[in-house]
Amino acid sequence: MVALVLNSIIKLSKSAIKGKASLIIYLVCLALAVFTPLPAAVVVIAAGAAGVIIGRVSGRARQ
Amino acid sequence: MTLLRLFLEFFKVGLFAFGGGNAAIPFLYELAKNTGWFSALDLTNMIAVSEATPGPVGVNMASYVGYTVSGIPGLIIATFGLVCPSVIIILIISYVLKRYRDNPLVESAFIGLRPASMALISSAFISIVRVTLINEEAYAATKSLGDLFNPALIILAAVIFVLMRKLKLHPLIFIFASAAVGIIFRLGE
Repeated sequence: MVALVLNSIIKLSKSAIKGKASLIIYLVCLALAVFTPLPAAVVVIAAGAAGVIIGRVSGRARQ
Repeated sequence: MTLLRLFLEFFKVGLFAFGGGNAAIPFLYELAKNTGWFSALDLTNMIAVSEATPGPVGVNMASYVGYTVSGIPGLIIATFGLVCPSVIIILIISYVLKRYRDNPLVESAFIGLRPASMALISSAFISIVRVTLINEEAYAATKSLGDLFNPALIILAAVIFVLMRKLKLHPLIFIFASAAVGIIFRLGE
């Protein structure tokens, strides 16, 4: 199981983690999931909101 | 009451498990902790069984847990609860996406959702490692590093991982091979 899940993580991360912003979101979410009792759903919603903020900020920077 | 709770708990899993079957694993760990319906070790076994059977891992696990908790009705209710949110959401999204396909807000949200899903799967991976490769209870009792790790299982996991990356065979082959090694060398004892 350990090998299977690790293999899935490596495969999926190639498409899911692209660029610094998504790497930071990944690390923050991982820390929250491992070290805090926050429900996973809260982490997912917060990450979606962070994505929207990052999208807006980078959109403005481009303009 | 148990059936209603099964439905609601798996509805929650289905609602927030973005990124396929494996994304349901961290939510199921949470469910194991909160409900006591199954242990973390049960879940690890369930994942192995789910990977070795046809169909999405999340659905297989919902069926397994539902059946364990409440028999056939539990199986049906838990599976229905898991798939229900995605059916409803995809129906809404397919309608909305036609109109907002290129909306920057939707694209931006996925910038955050994809790595979050990966982080939750990684967190589940850490839990699986703690359950399968590390014996914290034995270490707490003896304070000896030799009791903390299980070298045979660590070597087996490493070998399977390397073979998986090199040979690119179906995961099922590795699951059966691991089970065979476990039986032959009596790794569970």
